[in-house]
Parts: sequence; C-alpha cells; structure tokens
Amino acid sequence: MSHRNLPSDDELIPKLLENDETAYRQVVSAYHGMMIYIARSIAGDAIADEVAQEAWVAVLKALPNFERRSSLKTWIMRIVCNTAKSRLRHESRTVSIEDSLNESGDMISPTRFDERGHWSSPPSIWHAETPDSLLASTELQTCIDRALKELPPLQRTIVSLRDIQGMDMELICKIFEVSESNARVLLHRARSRLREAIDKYQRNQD
Amino acid sequence: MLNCKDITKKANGYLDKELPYFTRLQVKLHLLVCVHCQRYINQLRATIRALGKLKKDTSVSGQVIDDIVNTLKHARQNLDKPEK
Repeated sequence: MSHRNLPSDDELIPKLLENDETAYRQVVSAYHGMMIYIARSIAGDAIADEVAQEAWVAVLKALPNFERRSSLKTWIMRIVCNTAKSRLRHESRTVSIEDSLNESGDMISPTRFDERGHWSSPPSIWHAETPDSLLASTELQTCIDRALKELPPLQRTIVSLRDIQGMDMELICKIFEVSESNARVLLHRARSRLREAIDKYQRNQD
Repeated sequence: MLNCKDITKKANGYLDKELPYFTRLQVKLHLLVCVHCQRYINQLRATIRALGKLKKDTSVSGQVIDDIVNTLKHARQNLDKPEK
C-alpha cells in the first residue's frame, strides 16, 4: 500500500470533510488498491471494482458521522468489507462469521487417524516441497489459485490478507469485527484446505 | 502425550509461535519421534510460505484514482443538492 506519506487522520479528516480534492486523492491513492483486493476476495472479480466504488460513496456519506473509534484506514476497510458482504447476501451466499465458523471444521478427515489418534493414512511425500518449487510448476500454481477461489469467502479473505498480503492480524480482526480466536479458526481452516489441495494434486501426480 | 491428531490441530499455532510454552514443548517432543507429523508440519509451513510469495502489488494507476475522485465529486454534488 502506498500510504507511507499519507498525512495523519487528524490532518486528513477535516480536509475530507471540507471536500478537499487533494485529501481525497491521497486517501484513494493509499487505500483503493487494498479495497479492491478485499472486495475481490469476498465478492469475486466480477463486481470488485463496483463494490469498491460503492464503498467510497458510502465513506463520503458517512464521514460526517465518523466517531473515530478506529483509524480512518480500518473504518474505510470495514466499509468495503460490509459493502462486499451485503452484495453477497443479495445473492444469498454465505458471509456471516457464524455461518463460516459452522462450516465443517476438521482440519483433516478423522478417517486419516486410527482410534489412538495416530496416522492410519499418513501425509504423502511431496515431489515439490519447498515454497519455491511449489510455485515453480504452473499447474501447481493453478491448483493453489483454484483452491483459494473455492474457499468460503471469509476464509479466503482472511488467509489472503494474512498470509499473502502480510496484513497484521489485529487489523484483520478490526476490519471484519471478529475476535482474534475466530479469525484464527478461519485462517487455520483455510491453510489446511490449501495444504490438502496441494497434497491431492501431488498424490495424483504419482 | 499428544497424538498425531492433536498435532495437526496445533500445527498452525505451532508454526505461528502462538502455543503456550509447555504445549509447544509437547509438540516438539512428538515431532522428534514422528516422521509423519514432521512431514505434515513441513508441508503446512511450505504452503504458508508459498502463499507469502504470491503477494500482489495493490497500488493503482493514476487513471483509476482520477475516476474514483470524479465519482466522489459527482456524489458530493448530488448530496449537496437541496431536496425538492
């Protein structure tokens, strides 16, 4: 994100309220890319641009009532997150944290273990086992991309922001208004599903 | 003593260094003697690191910034219009 030179919230907010174009240009330049990224993760490629644009208009309308209980950045990201979730709800797709947590939670199928909890079907040996070798194969990269797309929206968004973009877990929790423990459950499930997808691909190569 | 199923449940916490000291020690002890769990942990670590290499540049072009700023200007004008 290119917001290293962004003025502080104390400086920016009054200017935004005065409709200062330079201030708007600065925040759009700093945050729009991440907003598109979040919108895409939650709602998909097709409507990401539209969602981000809708979120900016919502920011403009809500700014006079912004109570500054969080930073401007967190507040803006929360608006894009809620806009994307509401678009998904219109399409009757699952987005609530409760629904996401209720989805099947086993990291690995229980049938892979015996009654004492030891592996009865241990993890297979991977031909490509380093991060670089995993990404060196175009097919494997496609497999990872597909597995990411197939994750439930909140799992996909949290793993994308945390593990791909390296966003701080605390900020993720604030944006999604979830507890850290719930965010971790979703992150762990997402990672496990991605590992399983790579494992399945590598087993099929044998 | 943790079994393999327990290890898979604690694997993410172990890799993120979030487990309490004693639990972390129990995981380490298990990993010393279980090649399957070592493999599982290594694969999960490789998956997470591979994801880190997919980081995308989220900066946007000047044209996109102009478009959004213009959209906001229009939205502002509509908001400022007195209601009839």
